[in-house]
Amino acid sequence: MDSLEKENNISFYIHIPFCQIKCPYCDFNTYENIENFIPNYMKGINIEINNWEKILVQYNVKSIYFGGGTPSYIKSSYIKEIINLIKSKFSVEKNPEITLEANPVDLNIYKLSSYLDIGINRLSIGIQSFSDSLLKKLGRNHDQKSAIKSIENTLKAGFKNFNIDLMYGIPSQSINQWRESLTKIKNYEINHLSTYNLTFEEGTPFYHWEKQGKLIAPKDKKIEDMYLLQKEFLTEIGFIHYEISNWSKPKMQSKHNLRYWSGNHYIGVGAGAHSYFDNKRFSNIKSPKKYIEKMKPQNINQTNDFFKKISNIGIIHEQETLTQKDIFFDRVMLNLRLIKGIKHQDIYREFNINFPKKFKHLLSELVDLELIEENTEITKLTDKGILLSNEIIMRFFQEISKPLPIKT
Amino acid sequence: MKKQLIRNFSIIAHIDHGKSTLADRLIDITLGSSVRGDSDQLLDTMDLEKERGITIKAQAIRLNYKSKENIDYQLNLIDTPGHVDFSYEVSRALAACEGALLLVDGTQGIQAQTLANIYLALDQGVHIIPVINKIDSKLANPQAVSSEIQNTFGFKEEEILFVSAKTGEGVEELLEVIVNDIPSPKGESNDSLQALIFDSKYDSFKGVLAYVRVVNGEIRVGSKLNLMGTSKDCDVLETGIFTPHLIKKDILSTGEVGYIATGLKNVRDCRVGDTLTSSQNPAMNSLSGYETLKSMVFSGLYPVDGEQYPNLRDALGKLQLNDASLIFEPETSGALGFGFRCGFLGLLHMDIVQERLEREYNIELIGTAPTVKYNVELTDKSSIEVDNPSKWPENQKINQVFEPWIKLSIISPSEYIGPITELVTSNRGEFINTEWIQSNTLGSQLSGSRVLMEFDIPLSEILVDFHGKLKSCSKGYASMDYTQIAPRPSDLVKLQILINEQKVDSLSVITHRTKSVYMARDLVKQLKELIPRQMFDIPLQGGIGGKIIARETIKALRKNVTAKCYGGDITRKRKLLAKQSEGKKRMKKVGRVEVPQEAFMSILKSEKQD
Ligand SMILES: Nc1nc2c(ncn2[C@@H]2O[C@H](COP(=O)(O)OP(=O)(O)OP(=O)(O)O)[C@@H](O)[C@H]2O)c(=O)[nH]1
Ligand code: SF4
Repeated sequence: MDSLEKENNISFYIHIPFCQIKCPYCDFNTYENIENFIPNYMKGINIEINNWEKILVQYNVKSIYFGGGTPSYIKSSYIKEIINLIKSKFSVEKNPEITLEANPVDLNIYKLSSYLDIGINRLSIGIQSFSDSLLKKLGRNHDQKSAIKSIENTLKAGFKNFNIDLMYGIPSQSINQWRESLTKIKNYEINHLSTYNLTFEEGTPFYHWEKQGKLIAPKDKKIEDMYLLQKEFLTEIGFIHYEISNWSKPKMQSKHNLRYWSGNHYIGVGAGAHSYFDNKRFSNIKSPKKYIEKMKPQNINQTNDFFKKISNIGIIHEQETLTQKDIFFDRVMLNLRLIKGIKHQDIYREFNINFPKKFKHLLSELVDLELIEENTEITKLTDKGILLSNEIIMRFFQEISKPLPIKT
Repeated sequence: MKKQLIRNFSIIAHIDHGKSTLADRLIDITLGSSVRGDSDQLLDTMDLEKERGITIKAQAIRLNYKSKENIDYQLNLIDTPGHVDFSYEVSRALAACEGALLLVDGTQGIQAQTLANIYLALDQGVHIIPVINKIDSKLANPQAVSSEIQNTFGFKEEEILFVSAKTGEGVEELLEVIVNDIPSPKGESNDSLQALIFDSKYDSFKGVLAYVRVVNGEIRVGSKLNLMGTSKDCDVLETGIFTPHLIKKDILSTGEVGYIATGLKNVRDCRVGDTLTSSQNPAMNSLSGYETLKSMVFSGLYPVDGEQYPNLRDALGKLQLNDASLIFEPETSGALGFGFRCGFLGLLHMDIVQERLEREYNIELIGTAPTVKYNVELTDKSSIEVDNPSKWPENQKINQVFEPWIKLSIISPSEYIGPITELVTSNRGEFINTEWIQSNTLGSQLSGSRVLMEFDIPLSEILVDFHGKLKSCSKGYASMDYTQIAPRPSDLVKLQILINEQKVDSLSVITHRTKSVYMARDLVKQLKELIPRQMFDIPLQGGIGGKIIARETIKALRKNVTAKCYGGDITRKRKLLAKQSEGKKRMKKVGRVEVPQEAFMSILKSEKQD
C-alpha cells in the first residue's frame, strides 16, 4: 500500500440524489418525486460513513463536498448530522473546506445562515444562465430574478467563498446572451466560476430531442467563440483560469475539486458515489432504493481488508484496481485539464518517466499545431488545445498503449 | 461395371436456376431420400457455399439407377461451379462427361450464364439435354422458355424436358432420357492409364484428393502415378467414390469417376485439367485442354490489426492448399503496413477469399481497390507487367500500355437496352452486337422482348461497381457474363491521391486519361466524407504525375472537450476516451492523419457479384 504511505489525506464526497425537478439535460444520478426516501437514505449515509471509521484511522480529512442532485433541497439538519458525524469519527483538519451544491430557489436567508452555523463554508450555486428564455429552455425551476436574489442572499449571509455554475452552448443561445450572463458576474463579488459547455448526454431527453431535431446544438464555431469570449472577459475582470471549466479569483480555487484533479484520494458516500482509495476506483450502486435496502447495520461486518469490508455490504456497482499505466494515464488526463499543466518533475518523481522524452514526437507534433506549450518544466494546453482537450488526451492514450512494432 | 452402362454427366445452369435442387431429386430417386440425411443440397459442401447458395468446388456423386427396362446403370453426376470466374473448372468438369443437362429456370428463361455454359458444353462436344425447371411455379412460362431454347440453340420441341426439381415432377422421365440419350464412355481398358483431374481438394487426413475421370486404362490402389502436366509423381493411397458418402474401392476402371488420395501435400501439384498416367506404363500423350490459370484481378490484402500479419500469412497459405488459383506475395504500404498482393481469377473469387479469411480465420481485412494486370512497354523497348498501381512506371518512361479486354454478354429485357448501352459505353465499352432472343409464344411477358447484347470492354471497367449498376439500371433483370479477349493499347495514367500533401500509394488507381479528372474529383470527395475531422486542416488532392487535378479540404475540428469532469467519476471519463481512442487505433496513419479503414475499401469497393 505504498500510495497510502505517500498520502494520508482524504476527502469525503456525499451524494444527495434528490431534486425538485429533474432537468431534461441532466444525466447525474438524481431523481424527482422520491422525497419519501430521504430519511432512510440519510440513515444509510450515516451507516456508510461509520463503516469507514476503522479504515481511515490514520487519515486526515481535508475537505467535504455535498453534491448531487440538490443537497440544498433537503433539510439542513440532515447535512448538519453528517458534518458532525464526520467530525466525531475522523480526524478532520482545522478549517476543512465544506462545500454544498445549491439550487437558487433554496437559498433563502434562513437556510443560508443555518449553513454557516453547521460549518458549510463554500457554496456552489446552479445558476446556469441569467436569461429567462434560456432557463426555460433548460427546464430549470428558477428564473433570473431568483438567480440574482440567491446571489444577493448568499453575499448578505456572509459567504465569501462560493461558486456559480454558468452554461454556454445552450441551443439558441446567442453570443450576446452569453456576454450578458458574464457581465452580470461583474456586478457582484463573485470569486469562483464554473463555466460548462452543455453536452447532450446519452439517455437524457435533450439527447433524444437533438436526435429528433427538436433541439439544435450550436455549431462548434460558435462554441469556440463563446469560449474565447469568456476567456477574454473573465481574465479582464480578474479571474484566473485554473481548470478547463473553472475560474477563480486568486487563492479562491476549490480545494476539494483540485484534489480530484491532482490524483489525490477521496471517499464517495451515497448512491452512485465514486471513490478512489488504495489504487482502486469504485462506485456505489446508483439506485437510491437499492442503496437504502443494502445499507443496513446487519450487513456491516468486521474484517481487516478494507475492500471486503466495503464490498460485503453489497453496494459496489463497479470497481477497478488501477495498474501503474492507468494511474499514469489518469494523471496525464487530469493534469492536462489543469491550466498550469503537467509538471515534468512530478511525473518523474512519481512514475520515473521522463515526460518530454517519452512523448517527444507527439509533443513536437502538438506544439507544431499550437495545441500545447512546452518548456523544460511543464507541458500545458493552449486555448486552442483546451477546446480539443479530448482529442489531445486520446493521443496520449494511444501513445501510452501503443503495441510494439511487428516483425515480418 | 461395363462401360456401356455408365453415364457421366453434369448439370449446367445460370445461378439459382435450380441445379442443386435437381441434384437432390436425382439422389432421392436413385438412392432413396434417407441417404441424404437432413442436410439439403449435398453437392454444396462448404458452409460458405451454402450461405451464398452457389457452388464453388466441383465434386462427383455416383448414383445407381435401375431403368424402366430393369437395367442397372451407373450414373456419375459431376457438379460444376456456376460462375464465370470458374469457367475453366466448368470446362474440365464437362470434359469428364459425355452429357450435360442444360437447366433453365422456367420463370426466368435463358440468362447470361446459360449461354456461357452451353458454349463450354458445345466446345467439349457433350450431348446436351435441355431441361426447363420450376414448372410447378405460378410464375413459370414453360412454353415461352421452350420456344426461347428452340430459337436460340436450335433444339427441337420434343427434345426439351419439363421438370420441377422441387416437387420431383418429370425427374423420372429425365433419368430415362439420361440413360437412353447420353452416350456411354468410350476409352480402352487395356490402354495405358489416362485420367482427367477435374477437381482437387486438400484433406488434412488424406492429403490432396484428386477427383478424376478415368478415360483409358484403370487406377488401382497402391500403384504409382505420374501427373503429366506438373510431372510430379504420386501414389494411389486410396481410391473410391462418393454416393454421397465416401466409399473406398480397389479399382477405378475405364469410364468411371471417383477420387484418389494422392499423398501430395499441395493442390498446386495436382492441378485441375492435368492428366494422371501410370509411372510404369505411361501414356504417350496427355489429355488435351490443360492450362494453368492466370490471375485476372489483383488486390492488396492487409490485416486491420497489424499484429495479425503472421496469421494472415498462415491463413492464405492454408487457403492456397485448396485453391491452386489463388496467388499471393508480401507487399508493404506506407499507410497500411504489411500485407499481401493477391491474385484472383475474378471478382467473385476475390470476394470468396476475403470472406473466408474474415469468417474462417477471424482476420479483419482491408482490401485495396482491385486492379487488372497491365502490360507496359517501356521506352527502352523492354516490357513489364504491372498489377499494382504502386509499381506503375513514370509517365515519361512509358511507351505504350496494353490493357486486358473482355467480351461482355448481357441478357436483358429489351426495354433496358438504352440504359445498359449507356452504362457500358460510359465505361469505355464498345457495342458489338444485339440479338433478339425469340420466343414464338405470343404475348409472353417473359421472353418475346429479351435481347442478348455483346460488348467489348476493358476488364478494369467492370471491376468496380459495374455489376451493381447493371442490376440497378435493369431493375435486376439483366445478367452478365464475360470471356477474355486480346489486350488492347490504351492511354492510361496513374491517379495519385495525396492526403495532407502525402502520396498514399494504396489509394492510387490506374485509370483512362479521359476519366481521370472525373475520377479524381469523385475520390477526393468520397475521402472527405470518410475521413473524420482532425485537429488541423487536411488537404485532399488528386493528381497525375505531379499535376493536381482535384482538391478538397477537411476543415480542422474545433472542439472536443468534456466540460465537466464531475463527482470524481474518473473511471468513466478514462473509459470513454479509451474506447474512442481504441476506435482510432483501428485507423491507419498517413503522416499524422488518421484514416479509417473504410477509406481504403469503400472508396473503390467492388460491388459483389452474386
Ligand atoms: N418453385 C420451384 N423452386 C425451385 C425449383 N428448383 C429450385 N427452386 C428454388 O430455386 C432456388 C435456387 O435453387 P438452387 O438449387 O439452390 O439453385 P442452384 O442453381 O444450385 O444455385 P447455385 O448453387 O447458386 O448455382 C432455391 O430457392 C430453390 O428452392 C423448382 O422446381 N420449383
Ligand atoms: S437541479 Fe442539477 S442535479 Fe438536479 S436535475 Fe437539475 S441539473 Fe441535475
